[in-house]
Amino acid sequence: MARRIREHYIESLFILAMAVMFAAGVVTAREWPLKSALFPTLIGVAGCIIAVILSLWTGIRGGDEKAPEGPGGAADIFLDVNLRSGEALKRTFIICGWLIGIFVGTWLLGQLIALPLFVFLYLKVGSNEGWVLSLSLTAAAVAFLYGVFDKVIHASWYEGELFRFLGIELF
Amino acid sequence: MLEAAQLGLQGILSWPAFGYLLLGISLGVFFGMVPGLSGLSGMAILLPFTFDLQPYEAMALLMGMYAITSTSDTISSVLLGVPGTAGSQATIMDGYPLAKKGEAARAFGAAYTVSGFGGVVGAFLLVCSIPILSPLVLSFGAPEFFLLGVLGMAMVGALSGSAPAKGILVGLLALQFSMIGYSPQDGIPRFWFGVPYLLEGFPIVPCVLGLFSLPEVVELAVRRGTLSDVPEMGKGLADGVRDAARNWWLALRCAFIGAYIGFIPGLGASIVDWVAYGHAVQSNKDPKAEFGKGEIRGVIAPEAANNAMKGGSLIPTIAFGIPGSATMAILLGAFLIHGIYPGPELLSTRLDVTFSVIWALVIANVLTAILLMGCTNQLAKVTTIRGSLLIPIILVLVFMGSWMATQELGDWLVLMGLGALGYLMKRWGWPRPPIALGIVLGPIMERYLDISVSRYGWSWLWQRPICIILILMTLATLYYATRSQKRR
Repeated sequence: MARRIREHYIESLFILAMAVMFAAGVVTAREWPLKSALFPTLIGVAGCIIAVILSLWTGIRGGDEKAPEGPGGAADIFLDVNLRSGEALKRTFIICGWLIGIFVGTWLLGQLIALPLFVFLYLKVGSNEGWVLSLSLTAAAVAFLYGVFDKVIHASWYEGELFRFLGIELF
Repeated sequence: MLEAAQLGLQGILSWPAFGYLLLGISLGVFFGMVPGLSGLSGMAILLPFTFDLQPYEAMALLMGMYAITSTSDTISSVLLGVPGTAGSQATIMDGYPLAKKGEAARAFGAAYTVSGFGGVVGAFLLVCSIPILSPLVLSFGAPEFFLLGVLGMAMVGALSGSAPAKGILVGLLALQFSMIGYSPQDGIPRFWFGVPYLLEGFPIVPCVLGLFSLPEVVELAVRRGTLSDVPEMGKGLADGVRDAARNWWLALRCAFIGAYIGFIPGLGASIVDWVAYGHAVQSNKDPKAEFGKGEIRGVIAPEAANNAMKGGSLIPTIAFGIPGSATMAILLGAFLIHGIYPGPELLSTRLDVTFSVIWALVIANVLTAILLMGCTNQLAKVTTIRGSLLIPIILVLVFMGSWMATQELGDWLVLMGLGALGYLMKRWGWPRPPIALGIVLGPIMERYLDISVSRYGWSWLWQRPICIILILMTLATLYYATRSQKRR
């Protein structure tokens, strides 16, 4: 219960941050010509008013009980996940770590190395899969990245800061 | 119109467009079947691959995928008791009990037949709406289109979730995001914080992938394990087809209900099946029927409706440029990327593109129904793939899909930032569709507002009858949504 109350305050602060953002938008827009400032001002004023009211409502009344997303098709999956349990939280942090790892890895090594490396490490280290499966899927990832993105779509690849620093030109 | 229909059909059947349609169908079967992927994620992942395609090819790929996720989602609903997408929740009510009784094949036979039928009915209604909507759309000016945008945002914001105020606020936030970059009016850089990446605006693809795909991947990673044990299909596929034929009147009624719900922005996927299911229960006169315990009509009703809904949901997107859901917002994004502007253009000079969409819808629905009848046993095995194997594959697709927006690391920062926002919103029960809508609709609404004010001042707000009607409809939507929330 205490955790739920605390979460309401966090949510209230989140909405208040939105209000500040809307207000900042309105203030910034004052420096622009009318044509550019009109829409941001209208949106900013409306957003700021709603955000302040909703923030107070959520903070004081505890907001609405959490409900799944309704019509509109956002929530296409209904997995029974208790995100409040310690184990679930740990797993959430682990997958977030992998996501950050992909970004940092690509920044350092470029996608053509970082993404297959991620696939291999996730399968072998993160999921304890066998060598054959891990290597096969990694090879498939390399073939997919190179075949589809390089040969078909002709995407440009990020070089990787490490290679730039070392003066090695890969692509 | 006949000429445009013929051109559209030729466009879709020509090579390589037809190949892309088949590819879209194959991917749609996969995206619909695996809980957590969904048609929305599929659209978001496929969108960047359409950049280099011709309009017909792009529409074939996207529509092939989009049209049939509500056919293939039946597999997980019936075999796992978990909806493959939001539109197949009600199918579980009787589909899963049927599977437990060893009659999964019968449920599939009925579901595929009415899914194909519903998809064709939805497409037929879309065709019928063209002559009615054309003169209406052509009579609209900039003020009407701006207010239609406001109405669309209000409907989706207020109706797509449990808290209208949150939906509206999220929609406004997205409109604010859409203003990042050079102003289309006079080229003033706005909200760019000295970051050159932001000058070109907020790219839609990383936003959508971040908001909708990353949170699902996180959940899949947290849940772990396999999605299902190897299912036992049983026999009776032909019985299911006969059940569908016997209940054609129910299927037709539910298809109309589905198309109508799809037409209204903000409703759609997650209520259409329940409304149709409720209708089947209420209109039932058979005393032996046991809904909830494996009644075949409980499968027929939602499956006919959720496929027909797709045709209905295309009407506001194509005719008015008002997407009724996040998926439609992505489709609208695809139109804009290919230089096609919904509204008068798609109903007049580019009517052939509209018909290519309709033909893709019809062909995809019919082909998929036949395909799934033949190989459900084999396809069902996909639901037994471990989540740990799916996650790296999905993440590679998501990250590379985002990369295709501008091919800068900033795309990935947007992806991860919006992913965090999407995760928090999902956790707190905030609706996410208004964000995708706002980002796509923002520039369009701003352009129409600018034209309206420059041309008419503010007098259009009270001097144009259609504008007054649209304002009243917006107010009524907000009033209805607030009242519904109070009742809850």
